Amino acid sequence: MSRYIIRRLIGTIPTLFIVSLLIYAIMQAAPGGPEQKFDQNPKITPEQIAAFRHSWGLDQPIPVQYCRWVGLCNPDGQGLGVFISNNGLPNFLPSFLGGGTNGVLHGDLGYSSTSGSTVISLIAQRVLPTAILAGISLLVWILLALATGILAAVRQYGKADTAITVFNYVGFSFPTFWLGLMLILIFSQDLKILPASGMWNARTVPIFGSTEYWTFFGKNPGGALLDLGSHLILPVVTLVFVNIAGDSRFVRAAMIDSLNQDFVRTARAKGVPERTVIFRHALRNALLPVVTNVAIELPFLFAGAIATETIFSWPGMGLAYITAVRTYDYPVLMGILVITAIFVVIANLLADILYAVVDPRISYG
Amino acid sequence: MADIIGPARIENIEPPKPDYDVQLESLNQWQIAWRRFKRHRMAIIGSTMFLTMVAIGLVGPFVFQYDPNNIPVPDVKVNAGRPPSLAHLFGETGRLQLDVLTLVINGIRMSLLIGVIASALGAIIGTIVGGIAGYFGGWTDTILMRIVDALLSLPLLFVILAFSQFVGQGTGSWLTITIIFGLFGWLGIARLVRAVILSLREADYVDAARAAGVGDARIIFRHLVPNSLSPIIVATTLGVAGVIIGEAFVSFLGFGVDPSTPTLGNILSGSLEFINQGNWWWAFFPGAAIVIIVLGINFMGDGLRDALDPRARI
Repeated sequence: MSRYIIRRLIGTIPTLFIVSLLIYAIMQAAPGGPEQKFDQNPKITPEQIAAFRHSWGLDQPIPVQYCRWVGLCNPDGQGLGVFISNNGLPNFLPSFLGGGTNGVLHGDLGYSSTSGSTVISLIAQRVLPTAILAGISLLVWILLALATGILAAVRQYGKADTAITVFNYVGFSFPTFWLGLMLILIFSQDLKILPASGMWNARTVPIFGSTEYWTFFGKNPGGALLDLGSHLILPVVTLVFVNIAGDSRFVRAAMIDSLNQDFVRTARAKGVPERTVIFRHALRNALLPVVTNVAIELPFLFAGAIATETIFSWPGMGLAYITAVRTYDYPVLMGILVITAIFVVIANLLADILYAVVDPRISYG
Repeated sequence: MADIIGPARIENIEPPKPDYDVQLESLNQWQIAWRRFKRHRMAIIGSTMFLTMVAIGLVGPFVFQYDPNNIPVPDVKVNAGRPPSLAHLFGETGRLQLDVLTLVINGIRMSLLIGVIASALGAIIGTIVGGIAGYFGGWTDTILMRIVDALLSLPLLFVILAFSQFVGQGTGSWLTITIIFGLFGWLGIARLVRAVILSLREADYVDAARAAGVGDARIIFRHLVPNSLSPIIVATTLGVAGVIIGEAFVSFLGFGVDPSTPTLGNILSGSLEFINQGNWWWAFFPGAAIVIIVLGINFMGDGLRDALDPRARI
């Protein structure tokens, strides 16, 4: 088992390397560059653009740029010395072992080319709102997927099954952003019962994440949570409605499979109550594939909140990404892509390991 | 014995007439699939929905002859547009007061065009990459599949979003955006094709073809790829729905097709500004068109999967 885990862990290294290479290649393949943002500004001279490119190291050959970004090369080095850190050891080693401090390998994603602050600090500000939105959506989503999936499986081909199947298909076919738009129209324009956008009421509540917010939260936790909750309802409904279909169908298939097993028939023949058969005997076994499926989907939920965040102006990573695209902020774009990709690779790894751990029938050499 | 069953007597025996008609039909794979598809109720509903939308997109401009570029004298009093009426069934947009029905009809055509071309392009690239990886195996396979794995661990919509913006600056032609979607839409099909070819490349008929001196490319594309057509067709069909939603999203954010080209996403994007003024019809109808198209394609794709590939059920 541990050999399997170690082998998989080592296997992620080439994948992550290729991911970094691809992100860089894709960004290079697109025309323009960070200097594109000056395109509409007639006062900028070619000399100023050249200075801008030089100060960001964009005048270097592309392999050198990539090498510095990833952290294999030391930007201060000359010639072949670029691979050696300022401490005289190979640059790719961790900083505490005498390696360099720059590049993705050392947790340095560079600086935003519009605001100048570090990409890490920019992303760190945005992680909590996205995590709140994604976490609560995930909770609602799993509970609803389980409930509808089990109901559909138990009443296979019945009215409830048909209704749930149709509902799933319809939900699956909704564009997230349009559903969000319609919900805003109904609940905040027409009925005026829920806020249309944002994460907090700007008139009564300080900016989320600031120290003022947390002191406000400490003084009036009920009010702050109520405010947050009312802003959460529409985005969560949007995310759940569109994404529940896949998992609900998955739970249904796993449950039907499990209900047709011999041990379920044995339990029924012994006279075990139907409720116990469903929840104790069948569901436990049906949960195995569901758990791993959720682990695989987790990062996409995290990233998939992007559409929802833009509609509802939710200040998370999705909104940060859109802003970065608008302002040609390459470091932020690549930083968000790198972090999401790492998240995906880890989640896939966890899903595989989890599957091997919870299902004793599967052996990995 | 010999004179009892003489040749003369045999000639006199008439073959017994059957009291039933035996009709033997020989159906090929596609005819069998078409039979199964016809019996699939959801598939027929889905195809009807989809084909209706295609018909509306194609015939609509001739029936509803409003010129989408014909801008009437804007009425200052109704800046936010007019709600649906008999003259304008889907209402009028804000500002330029265009007919929403005309916009939606043209949007359906553009969005379907983008979806079909991008998905087909993805299928072609995916088949080539998957075919090469599966047939040659070894290092070629490892490298190609590592690239597919790596690309699949990126949020592709994010990448497409950035790429569209950098290439088109928010005013790309529809073909540019279509090609971008095609270039990022081959990963699933490459995996499918590779899996099928991996299981078939040791088959006897492949050995026979090779022994007869058939080249690698011909073996891949004439002997192996046709066997993976079923999953390719299903994935490509479902891919059209994915591209339509994706394009709508990218254009909605203003990173996609030039706003003067009416795709469903562009129409929605324009409506955003007037939502606050209660202009619901501008946003509602194009979105509803997307839902109907995508729902139709999803039903149809499921029916195709059941008809072509009965074992591949989740």
